[in-house]
Amino acid sequence: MLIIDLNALPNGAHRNQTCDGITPPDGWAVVPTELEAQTVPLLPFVTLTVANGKITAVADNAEAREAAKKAEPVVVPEPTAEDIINAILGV
Amino acid sequence: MAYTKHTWLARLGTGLNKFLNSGTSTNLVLTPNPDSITQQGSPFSATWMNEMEQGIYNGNTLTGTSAPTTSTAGVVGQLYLNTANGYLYKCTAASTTYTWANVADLFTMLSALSSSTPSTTSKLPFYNGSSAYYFTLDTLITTIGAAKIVTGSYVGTGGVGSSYPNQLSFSGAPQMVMVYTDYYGASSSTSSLSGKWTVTRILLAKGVSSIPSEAGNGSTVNYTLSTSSASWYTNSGSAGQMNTSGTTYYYIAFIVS
Repeated sequence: MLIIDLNALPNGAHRNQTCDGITPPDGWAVVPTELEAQTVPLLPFVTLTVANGKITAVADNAEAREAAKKAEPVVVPEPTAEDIINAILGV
Repeated sequence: MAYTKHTWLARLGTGLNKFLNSGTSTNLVLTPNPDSITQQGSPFSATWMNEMEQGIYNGNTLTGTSAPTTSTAGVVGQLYLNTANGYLYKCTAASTTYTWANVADLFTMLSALSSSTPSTTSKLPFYNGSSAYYFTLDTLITTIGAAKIVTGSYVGTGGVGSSYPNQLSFSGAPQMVMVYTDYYGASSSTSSLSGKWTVTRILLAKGVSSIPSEAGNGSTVNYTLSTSSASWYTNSGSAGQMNTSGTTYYYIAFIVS
C-alpha cells in the first residue's frame, strides 16, 4: 500500500512510502487502492484532496514540480578517463 | 451395545460372622446366624463376575506387530495397537468377521486436515508441563525476539537537512534499515563503474545515531530509530540524504515487535 504525508513540504513535495501492514503515522494517510496507479507517477509533487482524513482525489502539482526542477543544480558529469585521454590527444 | 453396570450392595447388620453348626465337631455344617441384618448384600454370582471379566477384556487394547485383519477377534469399540508403527485401530463391527478402522495415528489426522495459510493471529497449541495453552504466531515472534524483514520504497522529495528529514514507518521497532537505489555509474566520476547498478548509501543501525555521509566530505547522516519509525537527514545534499526529488529509493528493514 502507499501512504503519504498529508502535509506538503515547503517545496510542495509530499513524503511517501510504499509498504505493507503498517498503520500510517499521524498526519499521514493511505492512498486508496483505486488512486494508487494515478498517484505513483506524480510523486512527490501531488495535490491531495482530503475529506475527513481520507484522500478522495489526487492531481499533479506541476507548478511545484517545475519549481523544483529549476531549483535543482545542473549536474555536469565528471569526465571519464577516456574523455581525459581524448582531450589530451585532441580527439 | 452400552454396558449396564451393576451396583454391588454390602451386607450390613450385627453379628455377621456368627454361624450355627448343625454338623459335628470335626465335620462342620455352618448356617449364617447374624444378630441382625439391616441390608442384604448383593449375591455373588458367576454371571456378574463374567460380565466383569468381559468388560476388562473389552477395555483391554489388543496389540500386534501388524495391522488387524478380518479374522482378528475383538468386540465393537475395542482398540488394537500395531506396535510396529504405532497405528491405533478400533473395532467397528464384530460378527463372523471383524472390521478394524484406523482411528488415531497422527499422520491420518494431519492428512485429514485441509490446507490453509496461517495468519499472524492463528493459534498454535502448547503444553508447559502442567497445562495446555495456545499462542499466536505474533506472540511467538515476540517471545523469541525474532526480527521480521520488511521491504518497501519511497519517492524522494528533494528536501535536505534537519527541517526535511526522511521518514519511514514500520509495524515494529526498526533495528537496522538499509536504503538503496539504482546508481548510474556513467554519470559518476568512477567511469570504470559505468552502467546501472544498485548501491546502498545509507545503513541505519540501532546503537549509533549518525554515520558518515556518502558525500565523503566529512558530513554525516543523522538518524533516529524509534519504536515504529526511522528518520534521517544530512546536510550534504538531497542525494546524500537519499532524497533526490522524484527518485525512487528502496529499503530493507529488520524490525522487532
